[in-house]
Amino acid sequence: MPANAHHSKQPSQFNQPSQCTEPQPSAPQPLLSDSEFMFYSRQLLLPHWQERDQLCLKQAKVLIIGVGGLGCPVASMLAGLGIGELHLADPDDIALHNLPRQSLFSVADVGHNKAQIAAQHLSQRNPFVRIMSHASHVDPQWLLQFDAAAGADTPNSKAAPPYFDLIIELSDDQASKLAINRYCQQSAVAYAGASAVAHQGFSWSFAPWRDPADGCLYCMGFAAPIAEQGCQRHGVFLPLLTQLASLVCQQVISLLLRTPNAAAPIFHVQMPSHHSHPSVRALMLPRDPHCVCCAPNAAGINTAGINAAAISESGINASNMEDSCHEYPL
Amino acid sequence: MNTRFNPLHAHHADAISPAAAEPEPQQQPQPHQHSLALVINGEQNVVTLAAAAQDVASCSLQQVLEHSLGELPTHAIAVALNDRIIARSCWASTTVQPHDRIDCFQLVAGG
Repeated sequence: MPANAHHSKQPSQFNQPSQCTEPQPSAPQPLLSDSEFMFYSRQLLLPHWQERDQLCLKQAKVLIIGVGGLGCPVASMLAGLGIGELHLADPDDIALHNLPRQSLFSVADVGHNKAQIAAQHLSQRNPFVRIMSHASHVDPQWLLQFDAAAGADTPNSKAAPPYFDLIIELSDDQASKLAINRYCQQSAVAYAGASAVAHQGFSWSFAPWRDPADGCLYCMGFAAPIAEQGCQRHGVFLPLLTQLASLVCQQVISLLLRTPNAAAPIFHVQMPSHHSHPSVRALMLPRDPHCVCCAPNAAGINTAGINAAAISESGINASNMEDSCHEYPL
Repeated sequence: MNTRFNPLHAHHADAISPAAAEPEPQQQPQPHQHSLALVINGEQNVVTLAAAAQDVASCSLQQVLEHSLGELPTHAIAVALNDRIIARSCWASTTVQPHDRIDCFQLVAGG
């Protein structure tokens, strides 16, 4: 078990540009080290996968909310792909019934926090990825506080810029998916995720730089009451989770590399265990003109009052934000 | 279909007219010209539109769903017409055409 080191944030770290941009002729370009080249050689050999694509993933900061049946395979794939900074958040502890489908955990991990164990495991698999865990429930307020703590040198008159390039919501909580959807819409952060119960599920990916006519989770009707909740009642088919996780990762790559012909924003997957064929539908999602979240006149979350001064007055600062955050170094 | 889990009880839709969503017995539908595919949680049904071809365009997505589902569900479902998800607020104003494909799937919250 690697030693847990508190995540030491330096303001300069949080202000580095993380977007994947075209190379500037005058600026020296970062390169992959020989070790990284060797580590990622099998994907660098792929046609249309260039070193700058790998560097783009290396510069990305991604948060995964929920390290369960979907979060484990997604985190594992993203760590393997080489996301530069990967944050895992989950307040739950590992239970015995998680083990069959949550491949990052073993029997000895039962009772320990999911995010922390997953981060330890993944940091040993890819030494080039900076992995941090948060044993916390992440909601928009948590994100705003994190943004503010990271952007402590932002002028008080301005809200801190969002820290993460992409947030992936993979918990089993409908309210959380909607709340993070709203945060991402208002903060212009790319948003992906998936949800699955029994034999069917769906994944999504939204980004502010895509078609402005695209909708959000509210537009597809996700805010209506869910008929019957969850895997606790209906179970979940393991191959469905891996299929959805693969689709999420494909969508994540498309978002981070800003692929011009991006994949459809919604995939619906129906995967019966027997008697029928699996079905994967790629679906477009036009914006609902009456959407309470993303329509032009929709009311958003209030980010104006949350800035460095407000955070300071409330007693929240970078040091106590780090209490539940652990980094797993080499 | 797992009806315990799936609240969308698909009544096999024999015919739907654009005006009253009721079949017109005197008019024989032409299934290959006036039918559309309704896929509910992955299971395909055929909805036959009992109307002249020029009138089919006045049949709304909401009419088709009401006719096919019995009553419109109040819980979270997504409806896609020809692979484009249609917001619930647009169901009544969206018209269907012969050979359209409608996908309905239940939105779930699980991870």
